[in-house]
Amino acid sequence: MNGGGWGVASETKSLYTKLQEIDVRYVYLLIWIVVSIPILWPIGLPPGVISEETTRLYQYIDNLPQRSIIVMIDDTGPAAAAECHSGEIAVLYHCMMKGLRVLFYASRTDAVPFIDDAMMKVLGKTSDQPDYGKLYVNLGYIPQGEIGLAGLAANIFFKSVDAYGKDTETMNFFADLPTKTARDWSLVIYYGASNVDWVVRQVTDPYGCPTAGGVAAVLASRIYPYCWDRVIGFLTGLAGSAQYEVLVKRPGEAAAGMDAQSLGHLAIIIMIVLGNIGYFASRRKIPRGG
Amino acid sequence: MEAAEALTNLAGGAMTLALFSYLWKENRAFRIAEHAYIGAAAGYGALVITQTAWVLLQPWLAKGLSYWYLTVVIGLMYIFFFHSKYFWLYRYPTAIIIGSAIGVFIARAIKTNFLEQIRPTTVVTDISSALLAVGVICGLFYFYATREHKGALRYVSRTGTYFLMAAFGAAFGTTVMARISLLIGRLRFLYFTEPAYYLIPVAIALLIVGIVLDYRKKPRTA
Repeated sequence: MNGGGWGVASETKSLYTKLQEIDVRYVYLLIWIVVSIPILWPIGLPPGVISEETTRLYQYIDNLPQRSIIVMIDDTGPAAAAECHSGEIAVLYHCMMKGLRVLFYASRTDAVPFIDDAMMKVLGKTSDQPDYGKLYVNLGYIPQGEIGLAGLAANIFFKSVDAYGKDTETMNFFADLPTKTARDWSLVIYYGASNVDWVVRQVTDPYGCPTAGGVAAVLASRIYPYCWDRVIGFLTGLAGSAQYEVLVKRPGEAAAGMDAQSLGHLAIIIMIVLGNIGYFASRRKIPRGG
Repeated sequence: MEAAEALTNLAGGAMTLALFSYLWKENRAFRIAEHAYIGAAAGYGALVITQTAWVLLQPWLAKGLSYWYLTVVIGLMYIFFFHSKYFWLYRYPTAIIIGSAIGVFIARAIKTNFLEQIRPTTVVTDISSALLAVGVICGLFYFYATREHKGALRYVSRTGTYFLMAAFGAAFGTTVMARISLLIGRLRFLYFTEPAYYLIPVAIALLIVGIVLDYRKKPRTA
């Protein structure tokens, strides 16, 4: 045994036992190295098959008529941004290319800067350009999550001033909307690591506007129950974002991170296999009944 | 690059490395970064919420409906959380928030999360939907505690266990994917943002010094 000062006679450990007792910090170091190499020197691994979830979202947006309304709910904190934000940028780019109208709002305070960032990266500016108020509007932060969304869905002027202090009621963006409710929306897209069920509950079921998502990978398994009648498609984590970047032919940060993602997973899979070999081999050595 | 941007990037890099240092062991740099993050997030959140509340209030005040100031008074009653004698006043805004949230939720949750889910779960059209139906029914029987799981029920609940394990496995897989994505995001920031990348050799040097000091402090056995 290492250290401890108990004076116990040292016992020889098998390779399998050592494999299971390896200091976890070596694992962290290995992951750091494995993930860093393709970031610094990209390998250019193929993007693989584009998932059904991503394709469905792309096709749905691609088939919408011009000036349809897309509502983007930004629930992305700094933790989820690494996964969801590049997808948001790619979808916004697609919407702008198709001439769709985009209404942003943040459902949490730390998501506010990510809306501005997406607009800056796709449009070059936020509110100070001629298309603002016609093709896109940023409502800023709307508090109380589900209650806030219920209010906005019932009345588009629930928050009558946008994120920059401009009056929304006079904006061209809203002028031709017949009901001024969520019935006028063509799609609502949720970005974040929480859940889409509150969006389905407050928008899709009562108003018939389908939901989509650009969600953290951990959330993906909770969306499938709503597919495909109420959730029409979604981006799963960094991989989904990278696939959408490929579809809109605008490779960005997500596509650049996929080499690292693939190698990181490979390293983890190898470690899981080695750990299991160690576990089963050391278990076999214990005599039955002993 | 502006000085403010350089300083922001530098602070971002230092905070990232300080938080990563926890992977080696709990240390003072990690604690400073952790507290600074929580403090900054709370301060920023308070500012955004206050601004938003003021913006939401304006249309009503513009119409001369000054009784809407009452909402500000009710909101400020949260402060009594810190007052032992008037703590009861804190319960009013809490009751309003929780009450309205539950009202908005319950009215539609039964339809969206329960009734509407029954139909797509039980209608079998292909192998995938058949598996879904079997998985849901067997999974539910795993949590059925009114009768002892013996005979046929044992096999049903055992099948449910396998479905649950598969679901947890899938969730774990996506969680790992999420964590790697977060690491990629931070590493890309550290490697490609000027002047944050100058901090990496400093952090490595500090880590080596720390490890050496730790090693020298460790009691030796004969």
